Amino acid sequence: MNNIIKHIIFIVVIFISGAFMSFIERRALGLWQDRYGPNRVGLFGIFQFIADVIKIIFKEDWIPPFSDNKLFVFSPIISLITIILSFIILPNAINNETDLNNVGILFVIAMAGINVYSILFAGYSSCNKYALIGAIRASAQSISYEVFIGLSLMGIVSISGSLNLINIIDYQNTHFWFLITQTIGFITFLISGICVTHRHPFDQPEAEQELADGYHIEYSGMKWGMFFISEYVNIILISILIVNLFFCGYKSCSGLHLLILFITKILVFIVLFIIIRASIPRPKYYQVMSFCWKYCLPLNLINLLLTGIIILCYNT
Amino acid sequence: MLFYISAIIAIVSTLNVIISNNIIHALLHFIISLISISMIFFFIGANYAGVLEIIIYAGAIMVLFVFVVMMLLNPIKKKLSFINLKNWISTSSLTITLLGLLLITILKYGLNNRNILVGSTIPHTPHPFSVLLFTTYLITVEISAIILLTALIIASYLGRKQ
Repeated sequence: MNNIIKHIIFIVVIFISGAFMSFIERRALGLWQDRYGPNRVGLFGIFQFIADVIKIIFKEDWIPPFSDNKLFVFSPIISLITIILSFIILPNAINNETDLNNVGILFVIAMAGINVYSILFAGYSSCNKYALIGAIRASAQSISYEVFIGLSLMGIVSISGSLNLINIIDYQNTHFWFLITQTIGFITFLISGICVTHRHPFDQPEAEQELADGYHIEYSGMKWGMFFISEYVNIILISILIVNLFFCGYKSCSGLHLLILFITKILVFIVLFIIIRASIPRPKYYQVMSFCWKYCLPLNLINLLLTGIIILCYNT
Repeated sequence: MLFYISAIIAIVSTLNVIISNNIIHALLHFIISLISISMIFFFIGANYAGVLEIIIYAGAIMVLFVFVVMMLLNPIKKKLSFINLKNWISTSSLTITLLGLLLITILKYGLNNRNILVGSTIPHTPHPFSVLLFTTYLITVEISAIILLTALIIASYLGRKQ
């Protein structure tokens, strides 16, 4: 019972920080682009996200009559649940020992794989040309960059000898940060993380100028809100993963200063996501795909090969 | 208990794959049945097998199926029926034969082999699995790699610019 309450609190915290991210993003973008962001609700507009959530909840829950309504309702639920499920494997104060830790990183990749269906089915069930094109773009992009999410982490896995996140963090605490040896892996993981969350430089599936709003063009109210929150929760997940995998992470619950350091590292990456959105223009779709297969794939394979050679030399 | 729930979900969704009129719904049911099979793997403690099932089947192969179906035909308004009498007779006779074989095996050997994995001493981590792949089953791995390479070359040949 105690455990269930802890987990519910954990999920609620994730939700609230996901919704709060939207406020941070709008405010920070306003700051950098020399204009006011939302600054009316509460101190510095800090309660803007509550107003947004109330508005979204009380909107009419409309399902288009021409759509495939079962799938239409189902797809935002997949998108949110798969991302929340991936939080299971992160080492935290609630559970340090689950069975799933054996497969750790693979579980995140599996959940990202299922997450593609939410987009595919959303685009299909909307029965709309823009949605369909957006879904096809989004799924092709997600599938090809999921390959690199896996491939960029294999160097880390082979050095630390485990898929378990706790072991990886322990290895970094005793030896070195993986940022030093796996720089290519880090860069690829960051890029493919942006790509899988459909953030700005890689948001061709939602490009307003070409596709109106891509796969969630027919969605409104809370169903759209679920897609929206899942995007922000996904950013938080990717930032936590980056910190855990490349920047030493958070070593159990020892000391408040370590916790503050950990949260600061995560915040740096969240802000980096927003800065990238604010500063880089959107490339064409085929450029995104050719960059993926022509540069990321060979670079990562070479990286993996070199890592393997160095491990072999070091061990013998 | 959890095993029975996921087993029932797997059976029902697989039946729905066959019965369903809408091809995308059929694919969705197929994905659900794959995920419930991987749930069974999780329950008996074979996490690695369960995760691989999700990544390979549900995450990669079925995505391509849905993708191709979505690109080639728009199935929302069309009702495709795969069940006509001619197909029905031949396939159901084959299925009944298979079911009979399965029943005979179960009657002969019993159903109590369910905890094979639970009883074994090998830990269910990727390490022993990969060691087996590169020692005992090396030839199989090599052959499948060559087949995949041929498939890749053929795909790039078909997709070239004229």
